[in-house]
Amino acid sequence: MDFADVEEAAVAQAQAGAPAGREPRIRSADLLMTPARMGVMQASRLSVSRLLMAKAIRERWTIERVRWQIDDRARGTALYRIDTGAMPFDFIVHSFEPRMEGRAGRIIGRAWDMMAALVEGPVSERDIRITGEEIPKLYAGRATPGTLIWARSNRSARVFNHTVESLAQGRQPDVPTLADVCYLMRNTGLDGNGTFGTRSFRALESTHPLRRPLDAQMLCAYMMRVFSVDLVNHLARCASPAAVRLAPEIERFLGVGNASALGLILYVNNHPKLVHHWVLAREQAIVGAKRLRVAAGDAKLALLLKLLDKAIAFRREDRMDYEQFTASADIAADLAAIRAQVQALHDTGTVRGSVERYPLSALCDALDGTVHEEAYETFLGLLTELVPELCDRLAEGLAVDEEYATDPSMSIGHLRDLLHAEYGWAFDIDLESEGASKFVWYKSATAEEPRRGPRAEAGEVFNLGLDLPRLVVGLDREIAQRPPATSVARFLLDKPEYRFIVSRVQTLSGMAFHSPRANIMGEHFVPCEITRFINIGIHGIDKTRDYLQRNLRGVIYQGAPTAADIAAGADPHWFYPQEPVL
Amino acid sequence: MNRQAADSARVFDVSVREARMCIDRILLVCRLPPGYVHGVREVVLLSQSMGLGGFRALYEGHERLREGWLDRVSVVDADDGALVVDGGGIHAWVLLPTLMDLGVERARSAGRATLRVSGVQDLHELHVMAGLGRRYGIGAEVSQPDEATGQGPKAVVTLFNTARPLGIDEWDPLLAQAIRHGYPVDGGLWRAIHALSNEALAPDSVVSRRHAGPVILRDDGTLQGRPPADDDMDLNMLRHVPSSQGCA
Repeated sequence: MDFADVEEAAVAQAQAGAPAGREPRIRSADLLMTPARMGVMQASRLSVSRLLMAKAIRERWTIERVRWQIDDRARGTALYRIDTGAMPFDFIVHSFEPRMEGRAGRIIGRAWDMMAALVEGPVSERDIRITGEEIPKLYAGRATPGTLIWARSNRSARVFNHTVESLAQGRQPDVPTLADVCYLMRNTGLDGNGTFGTRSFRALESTHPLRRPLDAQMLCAYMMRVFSVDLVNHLARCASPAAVRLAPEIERFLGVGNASALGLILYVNNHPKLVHHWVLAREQAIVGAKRLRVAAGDAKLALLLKLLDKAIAFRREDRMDYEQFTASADIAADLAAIRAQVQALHDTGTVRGSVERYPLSALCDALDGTVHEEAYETFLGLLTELVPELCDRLAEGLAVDEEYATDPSMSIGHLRDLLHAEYGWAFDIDLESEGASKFVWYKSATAEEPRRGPRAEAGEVFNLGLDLPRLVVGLDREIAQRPPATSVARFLLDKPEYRFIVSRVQTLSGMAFHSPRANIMGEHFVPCEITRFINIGIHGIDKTRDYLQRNLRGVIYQGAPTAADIAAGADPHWFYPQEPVL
Repeated sequence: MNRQAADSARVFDVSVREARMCIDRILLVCRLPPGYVHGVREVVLLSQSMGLGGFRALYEGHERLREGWLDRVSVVDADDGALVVDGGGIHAWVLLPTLMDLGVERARSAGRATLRVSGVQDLHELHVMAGLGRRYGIGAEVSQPDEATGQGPKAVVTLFNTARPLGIDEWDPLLAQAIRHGYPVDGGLWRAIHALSNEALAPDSVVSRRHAGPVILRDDGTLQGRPPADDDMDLNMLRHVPSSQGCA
């Protein structure tokens, strides 16, 4: 299969909103980049947790527990070594006895059950000691050389304690209790890419095993999961010599928790090229799958059916309550309807009785609009599993810089053309009503927590949110008052306060998917839609429960192989696990 | 010994990301327009890389960035084709992004450009143009007629077209170097810069803590929103803010 033409798919299609047809095409930014649509984008083979796990499985990474000096109250140090073949990484864990005071599922919290560092290994005793001294200082701390990530996590007290008690009593924990939460420990912070003296992502060598965006963060999250399982086994054993170990089936079922909030909207503001390249890559992978010439009885269709079965069961068993988003039972029902049509294609080689050049593309066209968007996006995400080599190749192009450049020679007439061609949506948004500028984005002195509050309550703060539509409309208004032949340089001499937005527009020109089409200052903006796009679409997180439209709690790596599974070469389709039956 | 004093004995390899964040915040505190901050920030980074004033000058002289904005600047076309720029007394860092824009435009259209610059604080910082120009495929030579004093009142900048940069290493090799190795900075100075930059952050308060998080604690003590099932939340975190963390 030659995917070259897929990768060359003109971005202009997306920009111009090309008409739908049977020839597979990437979809338009008009469709994909609204917050509501971004919020239903689902995990795919290009989600970073899946990319990393696929790489680890393919390369048979090994994880060894080198040291375990943790007492019966969970206090002490552990050291893990991850051997990727190309380079070892060490995961230094400093574990603490839980305390209630200062505990919060927010970054303003001051109590953590575990703090850890992912470091290019092997580390020295000095590295371990200094890491233990520096991590608790957080913003006042400095990482040792070669550190990629500083991490911290807290237990899910109810599930963690239940698991330890059960194991100590010689039995496995209750699956329904576990399934209410789906993890033992929850990530409360993954800081890297230059923060606290960690290595800059862009400084990683071309042969570095974690060179793709968020690889290091995802490995760290996986190691949190490894540690959480080791810790429950250890504490159960300390409580009773008759304790049993957590069953591998349960270990696989449990992921690691994740809490995300407003900071990811600022992340999207600050990473427009990554967002563009990631959305484009996902679209290219979908097109690649749609172009597969599948016929009756095709093995790829059999795989697709198997993956749909997993997704349906996973959704049916989902015990989470969602405030803003569609219930999983409804998504499961739609996925079942999709499955029936895939089964028909598998059995007959036709789509609704028709022989098609691109059957999967025709099937997608037939499904689009007839099922919930989240179910449809789930299906598209599964399609990407049919083209894993293409996804891996596309992933190599995701490491992009976020530098901006100004073109001072451009005429403002040309610049205005760009504004109207690429930001037409900004002119259609309500920016004038009272509610359209109700909120301001800022960070607190405490832990630099990103916050979004009504201007009247927040007081005098520096707005840190990108007010994209207002900047665009304001820039257009100023340009309209000047001769079109005026250069950008001369315009900016007169209006230097527009320099950033001019640079941003010029730099991102031609990239269709760089920014959500939203007024994030307005009262109608729902932050967790964008957070969900990052969490589910890019990270590959499941079961993202929403709180107050701004916070999400989810699960990373649910169903992922154990360390032993990875070393042995696990099933690459580990996601969407069913509840274990012991 | 306080932390800042203790850290003075150390050298931190400050990442580009950290440096940008802190500089951005300091420039905001100096009341530069948010839309102009990123341009000046890149100038400060280059100043550091090129051994000019850099981070120490930012920390010790940031107040001078408040002294005047670009509306004081005059730009006149001279008969010989040069641009004559009177900075009106503003700091060179504030002028530099705009000066570069004007010079690049002129050099691209005419092949070369000459800028005669005066009325600028810390005029020697115009040497940053040699580094900044590479991003545009522009070479730059900066001379000060009475450079021997180090504080000449006038500078002549000559800009000329070169090859357009391709990758980041060509676009800004000094930035690429900093991305790989960081900026070596005296630890005490960096602590001081970080503390200064924190002035751009909002003081914490009980009301402000309602602007994030999965639940809101109302004045009457009730919760708005459902508490996460897995969370053991210390609600005292929402009831008051320790004096060390803000001004509840």
